[in-house]
Amino acid sequence: MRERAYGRYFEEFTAGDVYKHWPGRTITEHDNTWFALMSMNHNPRFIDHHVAPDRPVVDTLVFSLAVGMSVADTSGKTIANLGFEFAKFETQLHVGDSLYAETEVLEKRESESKPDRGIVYVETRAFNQRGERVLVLRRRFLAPRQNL
Amino acid sequence: MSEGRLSGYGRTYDQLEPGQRFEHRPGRTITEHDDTLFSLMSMNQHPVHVDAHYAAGTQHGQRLVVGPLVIAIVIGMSESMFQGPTLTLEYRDIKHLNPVFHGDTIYARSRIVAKIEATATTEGTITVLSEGVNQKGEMVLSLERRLMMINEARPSGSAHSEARP
Repeated sequence: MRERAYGRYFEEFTAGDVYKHWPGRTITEHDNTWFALMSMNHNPRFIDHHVAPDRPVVDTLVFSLAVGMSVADTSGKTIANLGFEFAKFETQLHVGDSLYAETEVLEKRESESKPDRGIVYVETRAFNQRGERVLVLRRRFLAPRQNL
Repeated sequence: MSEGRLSGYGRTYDQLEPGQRFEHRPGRTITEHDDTLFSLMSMNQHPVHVDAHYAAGTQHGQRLVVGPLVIAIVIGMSESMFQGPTLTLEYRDIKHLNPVFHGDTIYARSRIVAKIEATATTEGTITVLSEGVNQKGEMVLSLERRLMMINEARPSGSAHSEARP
Protein backbone atom coordinates (compact mmCIF):
# COMPACT_ATOMS: atom_id res chain seq x y z
CA MET A 1 0.00 0.00 0.00
CA ARG A 2 1.34 3.41 -0.88
CA GLU A 3 1.61 5.87 1.95
CA ARG A 4 -0.74 8.77 1.52
CA ALA A 5 0.97 11.99 0.53
CA TYR A 6 -0.31 14.18 3.36
CA GLY A 7 2.35 16.62 4.43
CA ARG A 8 6.04 16.25 3.61
CA TYR A 9 9.12 14.54 4.96
CA PHE A 10 12.10 16.68 5.93
CA GLU A 11 13.95 15.67 2.76
CA GLU A 12 11.11 16.96 0.59
CA PHE A 13 11.43 20.58 1.74
CA THR A 14 13.69 22.92 -0.22
CA ALA A 15 14.32 26.50 0.84
CA GLY A 16 12.70 28.83 -1.67
CA ASP A 17 9.97 26.42 -2.74
CA VAL A 18 6.45 27.88 -2.72
CA TYR A 19 3.38 25.67 -2.33
CA LYS A 20 0.09 27.02 -3.62
CA HIS A 21 -2.59 25.56 -1.36
CA TRP A 22 -5.79 24.46 -2.98
CA PRO A 23 -8.75 24.81 -2.73
CA GLY A 24 -9.56 28.15 -1.16
CA ARG A 25 -12.67 28.76 0.90
CA THR A 26 -15.45 31.37 1.12
CA ILE A 27 -16.18 32.55 4.66
CA THR A 28 -19.91 32.59 5.28
CA GLU A 29 -22.07 34.42 7.77
CA HIS A 30 -22.53 31.15 9.60
CA ASP A 31 -18.77 30.52 9.82
CA ASN A 32 -18.08 33.92 11.29
CA THR A 33 -20.82 34.12 13.90
CA TRP A 34 -20.34 30.52 14.99
CA PHE A 35 -16.58 30.97 15.22
CA ALA A 36 -16.74 34.13 17.31
CA LEU A 37 -19.22 32.69 19.79
CA MET A 38 -17.63 29.22 19.96
CA SER A 39 -14.33 30.85 20.90
CA MET A 40 -16.03 33.13 23.46
CA ASN A 41 -15.05 36.16 21.42
CA HIS A 42 -17.63 38.86 22.16
CA ASN A 43 -15.91 41.60 20.21
CA PRO A 44 -19.00 43.39 18.84
CA ARG A 45 -17.38 43.79 15.41
CA PHE A 46 -17.90 40.09 14.86
CA ILE A 47 -21.35 39.49 16.29
CA ASP A 48 -23.24 42.78 15.89
CA HIS A 49 -23.92 43.99 12.35
CA HIS A 50 -25.08 47.35 13.62
CA VAL A 51 -21.65 48.01 15.10
CA ALA A 52 -19.86 46.67 12.01
CA PRO A 53 -22.14 46.62 8.95
CA ASP A 54 -19.21 45.58 6.77
CA ARG A 55 -19.07 42.23 8.60
CA PRO A 56 -15.37 41.75 9.27
CA VAL A 57 -14.16 38.16 9.60
CA VAL A 58 -12.77 37.19 13.01
CA ASP A 59 -8.97 37.45 12.98
CA THR A 60 -8.55 34.09 14.71
CA LEU A 61 -10.70 32.49 11.98
CA VAL A 62 -8.54 33.96 9.21
CA PHE A 63 -5.47 32.73 11.07
CA SER A 64 -6.92 29.25 11.65
CA LEU A 65 -7.85 28.87 7.99
CA ALA A 66 -4.47 30.02 6.71
CA VAL A 67 -2.78 27.49 8.99
CA GLY A 68 -5.29 24.74 8.19
CA MET A 69 -4.98 25.19 4.43
CA SER A 70 -1.20 24.91 4.66
CA VAL A 71 -1.03 21.63 6.58
CA ALA A 72 -1.54 19.19 3.69
CA ASP A 73 1.44 20.72 1.85
CA THR A 74 3.68 21.42 4.84
CA SER A 75 3.33 20.09 8.40
CA GLY A 76 0.98 17.17 7.64
CA LYS A 77 3.53 14.68 8.97
CA THR A 78 4.83 16.89 11.75
CA ILE A 79 6.11 15.52 15.05
CA ALA A 80 5.58 18.83 16.82
CA ASN A 81 4.70 22.42 16.03
CA LEU A 82 7.31 24.78 17.40
CA GLY A 83 5.18 27.89 17.48
CA PHE A 84 4.56 31.00 15.45
CA GLU A 85 7.03 33.85 15.19
CA PHE A 86 4.32 36.29 14.08
CA ALA A 87 1.05 36.67 12.22
CA LYS A 88 0.34 40.09 10.69
CA PHE A 89 -3.09 41.13 9.48
CA GLU A 90 -2.77 43.42 6.49
CA THR A 91 -6.19 43.67 4.84
CA GLN A 92 -9.56 43.09 6.47
CA LEU A 93 -11.43 40.04 5.18
CA HIS A 94 -15.23 40.32 5.07
CA VAL A 95 -18.05 37.78 5.13
CA GLY A 96 -18.54 36.53 1.57
CA ASP A 97 -14.88 36.90 0.68
CA SER A 98 -12.76 33.88 -0.21
CA LEU A 99 -9.40 33.08 1.30
CA TYR A 100 -6.49 31.46 -0.55
CA ALA A 101 -3.08 30.63 0.84
CA GLU A 102 0.48 29.78 -0.17
CA THR A 103 3.55 28.81 1.82
CA GLU A 104 7.22 29.46 1.13
CA VAL A 105 9.97 27.38 2.73
CA LEU A 106 12.37 29.88 4.28
CA GLU A 107 14.89 27.53 5.84
CA LYS A 108 15.41 23.98 7.06
CA ARG A 109 17.98 22.40 9.29
CA GLU A 110 18.63 18.96 10.74
CA SER A 111 18.05 18.37 14.42
CA GLU A 112 21.32 18.27 16.35
CA SER A 113 20.04 15.89 19.02
CA LYS A 114 17.66 13.63 17.07
CA PRO A 115 18.73 12.32 13.66
CA ASP A 116 15.19 11.25 12.69
CA ARG A 117 13.86 14.78 12.26
CA GLY A 118 14.57 18.36 11.23
CA ILE A 119 13.24 21.85 11.78
CA VAL A 120 11.41 23.57 8.92
CA TYR A 121 10.81 27.33 8.95
CA VAL A 122 8.02 28.59 6.67
CA GLU A 123 6.08 31.70 5.74
CA THR A 124 2.39 31.31 4.94
CA ARG A 125 0.61 34.12 3.08
CA ALA A 126 -3.15 34.37 2.69
CA PHE A 127 -5.00 36.41 0.05
CA ASN A 128 -8.56 37.38 -0.75
CA GLN A 129 -10.23 36.79 -4.12
CA ARG A 130 -8.77 40.04 -5.45
CA GLY A 131 -5.23 38.95 -4.63
CA GLU A 132 -4.88 41.42 -1.75
CA ARG A 133 -2.72 40.02 1.02
CA VAL A 134 -4.80 39.46 4.12
CA LEU A 135 -2.33 37.75 6.44
CA VAL A 136 1.31 36.74 6.59
CA LEU A 137 2.65 34.41 9.27
CA ARG A 138 5.87 32.57 10.03
CA ARG A 139 6.19 29.32 11.95
CA ARG A 140 8.50 26.39 12.63
CA PHE A 141 7.70 22.69 12.91
CA LEU A 142 9.52 19.39 13.25
CA ALA A 143 9.34 17.22 10.15
CA PRO A 144 10.30 13.53 10.26
CA ARG A 145 13.05 12.20 7.98
CA GLN A 146 12.06 9.56 5.50
CA ASN A 147 15.46 7.94 5.03
CA LEU A 148 17.67 7.43 8.06
CA MET B 1 -6.74 51.07 38.83
CA SER B 2 -3.22 49.89 38.15
CA GLU B 3 -2.99 47.24 40.84
CA GLY B 4 -4.34 43.76 41.23
CA ARG B 5 -6.61 41.78 39.01
CA LEU B 6 -9.43 43.20 37.02
CA SER B 7 -12.28 41.35 35.47
CA GLY B 8 -15.80 41.92 34.31
CA TYR B 9 -17.27 44.21 31.77
CA GLY B 10 -14.25 45.54 29.96
CA ARG B 11 -12.24 48.71 30.16
CA THR B 12 -12.18 51.70 27.88
CA TYR B 13 -8.96 52.77 26.21
CA ASP B 14 -8.37 55.42 28.89
CA GLN B 15 -8.80 52.90 31.69
CA LEU B 16 -6.16 50.51 30.39
CA GLU B 17 -2.57 50.90 31.56
CA PRO B 18 0.58 48.81 31.17
CA GLY B 19 1.00 46.29 33.98
CA GLN B 20 -2.71 45.66 34.56
CA ARG B 21 -3.56 41.98 34.85
CA PHE B 22 -6.80 40.24 34.00
CA GLU B 23 -8.08 36.78 34.86
CA HIS B 24 -10.68 35.85 32.28
CA ARG B 25 -13.61 33.78 33.46
CA PRO B 26 -15.38 31.53 32.80
CA GLY B 27 -12.98 28.90 31.51
CA ARG B 28 -13.95 26.43 28.82
CA THR B 29 -13.68 22.66 28.49
CA ILE B 30 -12.61 21.63 25.01
CA THR B 31 -14.66 18.67 23.83
CA GLU B 32 -14.03 16.09 21.15
CA HIS B 33 -16.78 17.74 19.13
CA ASP B 34 -15.04 21.14 19.34
CA ASP B 35 -11.74 19.77 18.15
CA THR B 36 -12.99 17.57 15.32
CA LEU B 37 -15.30 20.24 13.96
CA PHE B 38 -12.69 22.99 14.30
CA SER B 39 -10.00 20.98 12.53
CA LEU B 40 -12.23 20.12 9.60
CA MET B 41 -13.87 23.54 9.38
CA SER B 42 -10.39 25.09 9.11
CA MET B 43 -9.39 22.53 6.43
CA ASN B 44 -6.84 20.93 8.74
CA GLN B 45 -6.98 17.15 8.27
CA HIS B 46 -3.85 16.28 10.21
CA PRO B 47 -4.60 12.77 11.55
CA VAL B 48 -3.33 13.62 15.03
CA HIS B 49 -6.45 15.79 15.33
CA VAL B 50 -9.06 13.79 13.42
CA ASP B 51 -7.99 10.11 13.48
CA ALA B 52 -8.17 8.52 16.94
CA HIS B 53 -6.70 5.24 15.72
CA TYR B 54 -3.68 6.99 14.22
CA ALA B 55 -3.26 9.21 17.27
CA ALA B 56 -3.17 6.16 19.57
CA GLY B 57 0.17 5.25 17.99
CA THR B 58 1.77 8.68 18.48
CA GLN B 59 3.82 10.19 21.31
CA HIS B 60 0.86 11.11 23.51
CA GLY B 61 -1.30 8.10 22.63
CA GLN B 62 -4.36 10.20 21.90
CA ARG B 63 -5.60 13.05 19.75
CA LEU B 64 -4.23 16.55 20.41
CA VAL B 65 -6.42 19.62 20.31
CA VAL B 66 -5.51 21.59 17.19
CA GLY B 67 -3.33 24.60 18.04
CA PRO B 68 -5.39 27.37 16.40
CA LEU B 69 -8.41 26.33 18.50
CA VAL B 70 -6.48 26.94 21.70
CA ILE B 71 -5.24 30.24 20.28
CA ALA B 72 -8.75 31.29 19.19
CA ILE B 73 -10.23 30.53 22.61
CA VAL B 74 -7.51 32.32 24.59
CA ILE B 75 -7.80 35.38 22.34
CA GLY B 76 -11.58 35.15 22.42
CA MET B 77 -11.60 35.08 26.22
CA SER B 78 -9.22 38.03 26.37
CA GLU B 79 -11.62 40.22 24.39
CA SER B 80 -13.66 40.63 27.59
CA MET B 81 -11.06 43.07 28.90
CA PHE B 82 -11.98 45.63 26.26
CA GLN B 83 -15.09 47.73 26.17
CA GLY B 84 -16.25 48.12 22.60
CA PRO B 85 -14.84 46.89 19.34
CA THR B 86 -11.16 46.10 18.81
CA LEU B 87 -9.15 45.51 15.67
CA THR B 88 -6.21 43.10 15.82
CA LEU B 89 -3.08 44.05 13.91
CA GLU B 90 -0.66 41.32 14.83
CA TYR B 91 0.11 38.24 16.94
CA ARG B 92 3.69 37.66 18.02
CA ASP B 93 5.64 34.85 19.62
CA ILE B 94 2.90 32.23 19.88
CA LYS B 95 4.16 29.32 21.97
CA HIS B 96 2.38 26.02 22.58
CA LEU B 97 3.90 25.12 25.95
CA ASN B 98 2.03 21.88 26.70
CA PRO B 99 -0.34 19.67 24.74
CA VAL B 100 -4.10 20.09 25.17
CA PHE B 101 -6.28 16.98 25.13
CA HIS B 102 -10.02 16.43 24.75
CA GLY B 103 -11.70 17.13 28.08
CA ASP B 104 -9.09 19.64 29.25
CA THR B 105 -10.33 22.98 30.52
CA ILE B 106 -8.62 26.18 29.47
CA TYR B 107 -8.46 29.35 31.53
CA ALA B 108 -6.95 32.55 30.19
CA ARG B 109 -5.19 35.51 31.73
CA SER B 110 -3.70 38.66 30.25
CA ARG B 111 -1.37 41.52 31.06
CA ILE B 112 -1.15 44.87 29.31
CA VAL B 113 2.43 45.07 28.03
CA ALA B 114 2.39 48.41 26.26
CA LYS B 115 0.12 51.26 25.31
CA ILE B 116 1.14 53.63 22.57
CA GLU B 117 -0.92 56.79 22.60
CA ALA B 118 -2.52 58.06 19.44
CA THR B 119 -0.99 61.01 17.63
CA ALA B 120 -2.57 63.38 15.15
CA THR B 121 -1.90 60.91 12.34
CA THR B 122 -1.79 57.47 13.96
CA GLU B 123 -4.13 55.42 16.08
CA GLY B 124 -3.16 54.36 19.57
CA THR B 125 -2.31 50.68 19.99
CA ILE B 126 -2.30 48.29 22.92
CA THR B 127 -0.07 45.24 23.27
CA VAL B 128 -1.38 42.40 25.41
CA LEU B 129 0.34 39.25 26.62
CA SER B 130 -2.23 36.46 26.96
CA GLU B 131 -1.67 33.03 28.46
CA GLY B 132 -3.72 29.85 28.53
CA VAL B 133 -3.58 27.56 31.57
CA ASN B 134 -5.17 24.12 31.91
CA GLN B 135 -7.12 22.70 34.87
CA LYS B 136 -3.88 21.46 36.44
CA GLY B 137 -2.37 24.93 36.36
CA GLU B 138 0.04 24.07 33.53
CA MET B 139 0.68 26.76 30.95
CA VAL B 140 -0.43 25.59 27.53
CA LEU B 141 -0.12 28.77 25.47
CA SER B 142 1.38 32.22 25.48
CA LEU B 143 1.17 34.93 22.84
CA GLU B 144 1.36 38.67 22.35
CA ARG B 145 -1.29 40.57 20.46
CA ARG B 146 -1.20 44.16 19.22
CA LEU B 147 -4.55 45.80 18.62
CA MET B 148 -6.49 49.02 18.37
CA MET B 149 -9.67 49.96 20.17
CA ILE B 150 -11.71 51.53 17.43
CA ASN B 151 -14.49 54.00 17.16
CA GLU B 152 -17.80 52.25 16.63
CA ALA B 153 -18.98 54.89 14.20
CA ARG B 154 -16.25 54.17 11.67
CA PRO B 155 -16.16 51.26 9.23
CA SER B 156 -13.60 48.74 10.43
CA GLY B 157 -11.84 48.39 7.07
CA SER B 158 -10.62 51.97 7.04
CA ALA B 159 -9.17 51.70 10.52
CA HIS B 160 -7.19 48.70 9.38
CA SER B 161 -5.36 50.47 6.61
CA GLU B 162 -4.77 53.60 8.69
CA ALA B 163 -2.98 51.50 11.28
CA ARG B 164 -0.41 50.15 8.90
CA PRO B 165 3.04 51.59 9.41
